[in-house]
Amino acid sequence: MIAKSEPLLAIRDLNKQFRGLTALDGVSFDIAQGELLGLIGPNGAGKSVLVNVVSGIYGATAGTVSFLGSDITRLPSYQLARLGIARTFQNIRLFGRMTVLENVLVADKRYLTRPFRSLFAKGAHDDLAAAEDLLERVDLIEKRDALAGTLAYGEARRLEIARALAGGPRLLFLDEPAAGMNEREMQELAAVIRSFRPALDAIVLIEHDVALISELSDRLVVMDSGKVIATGKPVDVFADPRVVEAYLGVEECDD
Amino acid sequence: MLAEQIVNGIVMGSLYALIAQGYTLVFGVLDKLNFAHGEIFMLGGYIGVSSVALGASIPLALLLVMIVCGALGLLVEFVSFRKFRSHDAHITSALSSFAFGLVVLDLVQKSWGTEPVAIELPQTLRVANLEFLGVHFSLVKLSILGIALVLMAALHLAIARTSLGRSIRAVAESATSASLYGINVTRVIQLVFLLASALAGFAGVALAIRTGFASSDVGFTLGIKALAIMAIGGMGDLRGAFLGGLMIGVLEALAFQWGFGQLADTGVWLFMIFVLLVRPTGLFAARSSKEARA
Repeated sequence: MIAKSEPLLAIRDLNKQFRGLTALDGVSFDIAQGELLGLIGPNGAGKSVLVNVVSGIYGATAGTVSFLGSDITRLPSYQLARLGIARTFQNIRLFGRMTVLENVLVADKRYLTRPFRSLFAKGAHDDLAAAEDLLERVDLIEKRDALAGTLAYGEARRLEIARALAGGPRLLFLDEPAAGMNEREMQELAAVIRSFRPALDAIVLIEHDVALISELSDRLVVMDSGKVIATGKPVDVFADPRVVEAYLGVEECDD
Repeated sequence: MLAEQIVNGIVMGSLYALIAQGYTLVFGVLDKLNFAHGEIFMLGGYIGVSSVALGASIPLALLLVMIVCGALGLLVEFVSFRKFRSHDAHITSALSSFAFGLVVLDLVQKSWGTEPVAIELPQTLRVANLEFLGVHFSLVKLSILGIALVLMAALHLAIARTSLGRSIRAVAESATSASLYGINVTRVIQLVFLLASALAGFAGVALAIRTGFASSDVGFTLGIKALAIMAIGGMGDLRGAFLGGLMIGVLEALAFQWGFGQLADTGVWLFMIFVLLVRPTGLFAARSSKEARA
């Protein structure tokens, strides 16, 4: 849990414009090795845009993103994934016409560069075992041959996480993984996230639930209107008047 | 003989199925139609005929054709689809690939002439046949059918069981998600064009061997008919293209047997229009394509 000197991911002056609208406005922060960083902010603050830029879905208008010191700002998303940057989506995007097991296998980096591996390789059993182990840990092993499109909501959420972990990523962005979950499901999710944490160099968790994010995060980054307005330990951040005004005030209106 | 006609229909149907699977593969990953596909199939016949004329054995000719047509498929992807991958660019890629096909057609007619070119097959091969229950089956036709079935089975296995196939299916469902899980979407799309075009090329030579000549009008007649078969079977569905191909092949053969041969072509197109009206997902597709849901 001790942050090393070189950050895992360094975001510097990141700017994203959509036809004149500024979605990200000079965003800068580091993600340290070993940390679980909570990213919070009201709807429209730019959290998802930030993840989309970092994961290569959108190109940045200006600014840089570096991964372990090398500039990755312009890399296509498949190369970012191969470097070890994984993510889940706020709205579930599983491959619905594939089985649960295939959804995990498709993201396994060991397969990507060896197209016929599953058919002819001797090591196919080990790879399958790794995927089944992941399913075991998110409690989906009994559904391994079901089509992902037939899963219940909570199951689909867990499969999203298992799929994101399949490539053995170093950095994982979880974009509102608890959206639509009840209290019990949220606690199960928290347990899943904790259990996977040692396998990853860092996790970035986007979440609205104050209790859940305070419980899990080492540090918070608060965004509002495309800018970072506060960073720090959860207790300090939630005591900051600007955060209370921008974030908590709005959330009460939402509810 | 009725049995012989049905076998003829199945042989022809397997070629339709091969071409239709090419359309459906491309449609699956891009949601777009490759209108150059029929002319690549047509070109396959000519490359085959010329290879054999230059002394190549039939297997070597098949291999050469699949390489040349596969490479041409890569070129079609690059010039007519790469820049127009967005969902708003259906018309652009359709027009561009259609024009590409017309260029291929024109070049073939300038190089080989507009008249069909006969293939030089050894006499022994031409007359060899098998007798089964008193019916004679041409060895050439049965070999064509056998290889076509093996190719389609291999394609099915590759799609269903290999990681390559998983990548293709992932791109078909969502290119964005696929790329976020490390799949090089451009590479997968190239591969699909390569496979589709190589199979079309094989179908082109097979047709030339079966009929005895290569002809420049088959891209329009049979190549575009395979497009109707893809729609009848279910867009984006490999099994649908396979069953649709065999079904149309046999129905056509029966139509000729019973004297309605003149109506076969129009029949296929009317049938497609009918299927699109009453069952837009196609006759055999297990699920609806994005196009059919629209």
